[in-house]
Order: sequence, then C-alpha cells, then structure tokens
Amino acid sequence: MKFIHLSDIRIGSPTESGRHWSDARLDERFRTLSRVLDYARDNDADLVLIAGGLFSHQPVTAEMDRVNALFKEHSDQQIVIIAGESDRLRASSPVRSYVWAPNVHYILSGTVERVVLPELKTEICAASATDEQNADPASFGLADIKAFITSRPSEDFTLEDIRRYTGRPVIRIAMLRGRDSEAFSRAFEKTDFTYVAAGISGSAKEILPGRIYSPGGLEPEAMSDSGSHGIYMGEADEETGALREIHFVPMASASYIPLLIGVTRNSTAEELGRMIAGEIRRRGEKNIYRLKLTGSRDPEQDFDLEELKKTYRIAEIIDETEPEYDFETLFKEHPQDMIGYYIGTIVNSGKEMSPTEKKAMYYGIDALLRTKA
Amino acid sequence: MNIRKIHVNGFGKLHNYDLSLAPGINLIIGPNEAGKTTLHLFIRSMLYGADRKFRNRQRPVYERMRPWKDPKRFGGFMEIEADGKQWRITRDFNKAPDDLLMEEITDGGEKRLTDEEAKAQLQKILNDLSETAYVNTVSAGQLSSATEKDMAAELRRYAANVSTTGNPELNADRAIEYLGKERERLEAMLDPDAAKDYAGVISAAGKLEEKLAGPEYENRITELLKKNAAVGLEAEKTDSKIRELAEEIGTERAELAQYGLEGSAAVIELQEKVTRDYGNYRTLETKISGKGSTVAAIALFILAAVLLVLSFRYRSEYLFVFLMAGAVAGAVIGALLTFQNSATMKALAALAESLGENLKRVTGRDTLDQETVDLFHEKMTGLKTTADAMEKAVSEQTDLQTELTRILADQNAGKDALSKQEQTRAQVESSLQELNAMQQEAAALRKKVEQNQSVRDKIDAIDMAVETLESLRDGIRSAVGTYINKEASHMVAGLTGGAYTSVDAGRQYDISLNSHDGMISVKDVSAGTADQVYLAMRLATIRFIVGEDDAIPLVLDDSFALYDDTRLRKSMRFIAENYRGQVVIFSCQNREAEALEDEGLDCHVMKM
Repeated sequence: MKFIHLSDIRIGSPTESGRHWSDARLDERFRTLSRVLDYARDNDADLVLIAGGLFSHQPVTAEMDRVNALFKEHSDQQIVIIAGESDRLRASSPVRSYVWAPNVHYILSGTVERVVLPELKTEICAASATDEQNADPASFGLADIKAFITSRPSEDFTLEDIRRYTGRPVIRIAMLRGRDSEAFSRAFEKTDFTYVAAGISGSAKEILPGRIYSPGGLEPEAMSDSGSHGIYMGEADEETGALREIHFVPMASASYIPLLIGVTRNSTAEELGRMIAGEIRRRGEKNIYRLKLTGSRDPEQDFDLEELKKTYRIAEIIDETEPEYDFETLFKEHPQDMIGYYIGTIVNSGKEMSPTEKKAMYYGIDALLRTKA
Repeated sequence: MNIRKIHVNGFGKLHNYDLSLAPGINLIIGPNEAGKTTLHLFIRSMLYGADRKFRNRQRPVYERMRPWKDPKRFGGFMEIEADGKQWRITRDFNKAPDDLLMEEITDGGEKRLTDEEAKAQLQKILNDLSETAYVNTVSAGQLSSATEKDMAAELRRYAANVSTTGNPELNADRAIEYLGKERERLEAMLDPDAAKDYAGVISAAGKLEEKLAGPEYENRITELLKKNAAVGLEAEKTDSKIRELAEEIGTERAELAQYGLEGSAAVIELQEKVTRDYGNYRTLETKISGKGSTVAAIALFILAAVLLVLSFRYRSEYLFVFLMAGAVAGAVIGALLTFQNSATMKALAALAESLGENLKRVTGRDTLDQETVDLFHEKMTGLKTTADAMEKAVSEQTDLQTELTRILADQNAGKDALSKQEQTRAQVESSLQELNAMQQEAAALRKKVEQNQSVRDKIDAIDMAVETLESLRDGIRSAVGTYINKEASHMVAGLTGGAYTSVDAGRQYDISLNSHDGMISVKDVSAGTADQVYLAMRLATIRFIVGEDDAIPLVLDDSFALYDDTRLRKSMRFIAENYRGQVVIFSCQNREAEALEDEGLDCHVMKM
C-alpha cells in the first residue's frame, strides 16, 4: 500500500497579500495540490493523507467545490483529511454539511474517528483540530491514546465490509495535528501504528525515524521556512503491516531564499540591481527572496531597489550596509571639533551601540559632512 | 616646531627646489604661478603625507601634485627642529602616499627611526594636530569672497562654525536643518493610519468570529437532513400501512356485502333473526303438524250439522234452541278454528319463505332444517370474524390517518428548519468570505505597520542625532565660543592697534565689534577690518586647537592683500609680537617686507 502524506496546503493563505505576486501565489497553492495528486496517481499511491491545513481559513462552499472537483478527478486515491488550526472545525463550519466525493473522508470530529479501507487493509485513526480542544497529542486524554492503541474494528462496518475484511486491519495509521513533535514522540513511541501522519506547520520533520513524520507546509509560509517543502511518500507492507519505505519529495512551487549581497564602496545602484536580477534569474523567478545587503557603501550612494521589487518576488530588503564613513579615522582627524565630539558622545553612551545609536551615528556625521563648507 | 630646510625632488611644478627657513617670520615673495601654493602643499604633504582626499572640492594633492617634469621623483625632504632636536622627514610618494622616513639629525648625527617610532614622533611634534584641523586653521588661505558683503557673510559663518562646532568648515545648524528635511521626507513615507486600521480590522474580524460562534449559526444541516429523512421514511411507512388497511377493509367489506351485510352488528342481527325465525318456524310447524284444531273444526262442523238436523227434528221443542245454539256455536267455533288454522298456515309459509331466503343467501341451501341452520351459523361466525377484523382495520386506519397528519406536520417543520438552516448557511458563507477578506487586509496592513516601524526607527535615530548635535552645539558655543571670543577680542584689539577693543563672534547671525564709539556690526566695517577680524579668529582658533605655545608654523598665504599700509604694519607688528612660533608668509608683492622693515621687525625674505 503506497501512500502520500502532506499538510498545510493553506489554500487562500493571506500571508503574502499586498504583494504584486499575491494572486499568483494564491493560485500556485492550488496548483501545487493538483501536482501532488498527479504525482500520487503517477506513482500508484492508493492513499492520500492530508494532515490538516488544507485551507488557510474556514472554507466556504465555492472553495470546497473547487478542491472537491480536483479530488473527484483522482477517484482511484482514497483521500483522508483532517482539519488543522487554520481551518479548524467550528460549530458553524460549512464543511460540516459539505458532501465530498465518495473517495474523500473528511474527519468531522475532534476525538478519534476511524476510517477503514478494506481494499487497502488499512485503518486510519484520525482527529481534526477543533475550537473546543487543542489537537496537540499532549492534550489528548489518556482514554483517547488508549483508543488509539487498542483499536478494534469499527462499529460502523457494513456487512459487506465484514465479508471482505476479517480480523484486524493490517496497516494502521494515526493522523492528527499538533504543535510539538516531542508530544508526538511521547504519545506514539510505544504504539503499534504502522505510521503516524503528524500535522505540524513549519518545515518537514522526521520525528521518529520509521514511524512519525510531519511534512510541514506544502508551500513555505514565511521567510523562516527557507528549507525544502513537499510531501512524504511511503509504502506499507500489506502482509505484515510494516512501513517498508518512506522518503521526502520536494513539491513546493516556490521557496523563500535569503540572498546575501555584498556591497563595496564602488557598487552603484545599477550594478547592484543587475547583479541581484542575475542571481534571482539563476535561482528561479518564482521563488521569494529576502535580500540582505552587507558591506560598506559610498555614503553618497543610495540603493533604491524599488524597481526590483516590482519585477521580482522580493519580500524584504534588509539594508545592513554601512556608509563607508570610517568613524575611527574621523574621530582621530577631528579631535576637537563637532565631528570628534559627536562620535565621542554617541560611542561614550557606553556598552555596545544600539541599532538606533548606530543609525544616529551615521545620520549625524552624514549631515555634518554633507553640509560642510 | 620650526622648519629649517626644504628640498623638493619633484612636486607639481617644483623640481629640485631648495629653500631654507629661519625661526620667526619668513617672507616668501614670488609672482603668481611661481609655485607658492605648491610649496605650501609640499610642507603639508611632508608633515602628513600626500592627501588622497578631496578637500574643498579640489582633486586630492596626491593626484594634483604629481611632478610635471619627472614623475619618478615624487617627494623630497624637510628638516625640522623641535624641542631642541633636529629631524629629517623624507617621503617618496611614488612608494606610497604616506611613505615616511624619519631620521634624527641632532648635532650632525643620523639616526633612522622605525616606522612606528617615526609616526609617533611626528605626531608628538605636531601636537596631535590632525591634518583636517591643520588644513582648517594653521595653513588656511585668505577669505575667498570678493565683495565686502559676501566677505562679512563668510566671516560670520566662519565665526559661527568655529564657535558652535570648533571647526570653521562644520556647521551644526545646517546639519540639523538637513536632518530636519530628512525627517520630513521619512515622515511622508509613514502611513499614519496603518496601525489604527490594522487594529480596526483585527477587532472587526474578532467580532465577526464571535458572532459566528453563536448557537444560531451552528451547522445543523447534516443532522436535519438525517432527521428529515427519518420523518419522510415514517410518513411513507404510515401511508403504505393505511393503504394496506384500506385494501383489507375493501376485501372484507366486499365479502360481507355478498351476504348483504355491512358490519358485525348486521351479522349479529341477522344471526339473531334467523335464530328467532327458526324457533318460531319450528313452533308453528309443530302446531300445524298436531292438526287438532282442524279435526276439532271438522268435528264441530259435523257436530253443528248433527245438531242442526236434530234441531229440525226437535223444532218445536225446547231442545231445538239448545240444539240450534249448539249447532251455531259448533259452526262458529268450527269456522273460527278453520280460520285460525288457515292463518297459521299462512304465517308458517311466510316465515318459511323469509327464513329460507336468509338461509339460502348464507348457505346456498334450499332446505329449511337444522343442518342448514347449523351451517348458517358456522358461516355467520366466519363472517363475524371478518366484520370484526374490518372494523378493527377501520379504526386502525383512522388512528394512522391522525398519525400521518402529525408526521406530515413534522415533515413540514423539518423542511422549514432546513430551509432556515440553508439561509443561515448562506449568511455564514458570506460572513466567512468577509472574514477572509479581512484577514487578507490585516496581513497587508501588518506589513505597512512593520514598514512604519522601520521608518520610525530611522526617525528615532535622526531625533537622537539632532538632539546630540544641538546639545554639542550649545556646549561648544558656551565653552569654545567663550574662549574664542576672549582670544579673538585680544587679537582684534592688537591687530587694530586698539581701534576695536573686543569682538563678539559667538552669535549666529552677526559679529559685532566694540569700539570706543560703541558696537558696530561686521557688515558695516571695511573689508580690511573684516579681514583683520578673520585673522584674529584664525589665530584664536589655532590657539584653541593647537595650544597656546604656537608650536606649529603659521602659514599665511596672500593674507594681507586687502590691508592698507597702516593696517598692514600694525598687523605685522602684532603677529611678530604675539605669535610665538615660526611664521611663513607667502606674498606676491613686497608690501609685507616693506611693512616689516618700516616697523623695524626681523624677517627672513626669500624670492621664488
């Protein structure tokens, strides 16, 4: 039985709203999900586990229709979905009355529910995140964990199920949301689950090798998610129930890439622009960049990179360049005038200079030198 | 420190040029373009190395002074005397702009210093005076303005700069003003409402979420659908039961109708009637079959006839009456009996007919006997069961109809609830869309808030810079300004031979001179006087920066062009008497030499 495990697709995520690429990015999330399902089909995966965060918010019918249409196209895959923190179940959630395609199993409960897939000899014990309780395994009651461990065939078996399926399911998968990988380790270490599909937002994590995995966000959410984003693809043995294989497959359409740009006194804004554009083209224009400019720049030179921001996906430009004022030399050269006193005053305020003091140092000296006779 | 000897290998237009200087006043006279400025820069370069900085928008000395004739010989040496020792400073600018070789040559010796020693020694000799300070004070040129008005303005600026920044080139107020403009530019970049808008959107979103958490927005569609389906199923079941019953009732009613019966009451009635009739019938039949009355009637008739006959025989006799009466009575009774018998027969026939009919209808038999009657009762018991069942079914049907009416009402209520839920769903969905839009907006606003923060950080830094500059300016004004005012007053009094007693140069907008006739603004004095004030300010500044022992040679480059002869003489005397160190005067005319000679002052004159 082959399966894929993903989470935090976050369709409709507003994290990048207000950018020129935000609409394109919204669409990309949906298209990445589509690619993942194609990948599942092309690689004969039977089961798709979506461990929360399919949507970035409470989805409305139109949004679910769009996703459901996609799921319908992949009727050969059984798709099990739980809600995450971002789309957690609420009393008023439209998803509670949504009618999904027959191959979709959306867990509408905050306590453990079972999905039994006799053809796959698989049982999935899953819980959605709800308003009432935090879905962290640590917060699950002992009874819940026990229910996980001593699971018996579901009561809502049909006669046909029982005819086709006798005895315990061979492959048993647990799926739930959480924030703390330690809690997952503690809760599931001594259980006999084949696989624990954890849903923890952030980046991919192997929580307990051969047992507990969290793929993190399918697409990166923030600059801090600069690692690889994608899905886990695994295979479980239908005879023994053992996890035979598991590996990570990068799938994200875009990555957050921090770019460190060294600046020298001779750098001009144009040169810098060309260099950054070159770097971005080399690494992919779809990626989202954070530029950090370091080094010393000509005090007369202002790097206005707004044009680049209009062309590429640049989330942030951190200008850490320091105008190439050599404060030490200036201090020596001006021991008895305003410049020397100024430097002395700012530095003498003691300790390590604060960011404001550093900036004030630059502004004061720059103003004095710019207005020099 | 005194400069004793200068040798130029190559520096600008100077090539293999030698010059000796004496302590005290040295006057170097040469026409324009003779190389006075070059020599001036050479002295500076020997002391500080060839400058690589742009100063006053002029190309760096290091570039400007490459030898014209033989660029390979860029540099030279200078011999100086300080603290009773003699030194030779040699520099080869082709090696490096700051190349330095220093030897101690006191009493004809030649002791080379290491690089570190050389640097330290030279700095000590220069009283730690930086090159910038040197350029701004000791070796400054004359005021550059041509007109008197401009000159007064420039002097004012000089005075203001010196007394507020300690450096004639630096202007605290202009720097503060520049920062003010920078602050305005940054403030224009702020989005002042971002934080408020952000808080507004967040609070509105929170309220909307809270509203949606209310029980009236609970999604009960699945539950209602299930319930409605169950109610529908119940209605269907009830309805089909009613129909089944109707069928049963129909069949049963038809069966009863075959016998002309409607219900169990009719069955009972018929049964009772037949029982009753059969009883009567049997009684009558028994009566008739006894035939006593007929025999009696016949007997009576015979008796009457006999009596009649007899009566005729005994007509006259008394007996006749009896016989006649007997005959009549016999006839009458006989007739009565005959009549009665015929009525009974009739009644029996009628009873037999109706009874026979009822029995035949039920049993199909024509016979009117006990067997048939038994069969009738047997059948009727069956029909009674049917009638009872029918009546039970009818009553059940009535109950079910009532039940169905209730279920249908339930079903309608369920449908209403569902349609209400669907309306609520539509509301929830539109609220969720609104909420999503709010969250998007909040994310965009949060970015603006962050951007604001970064701009605010810069503004904070500017405020700190301005505050620091202001407090330094005020501090310098009160310390340096006071010193310079005092020194400059002393100098002005000396330079003007007492025409002006003091100067107030500490204020920003004006410099005023005190004469015996009162205060006068520098704007209203002659260019020569203004130049004297400038010289006084310079000397005061040098005193302030270098120290009061005037350890660095004072270089005066064409400083007295605007002075009239009297003023020049007074100034020469003043400098000779007041400046304790070496003085080097560059001039393109002989006026200074003449003035010095007129005043009887020693000086060392050289021509270029």
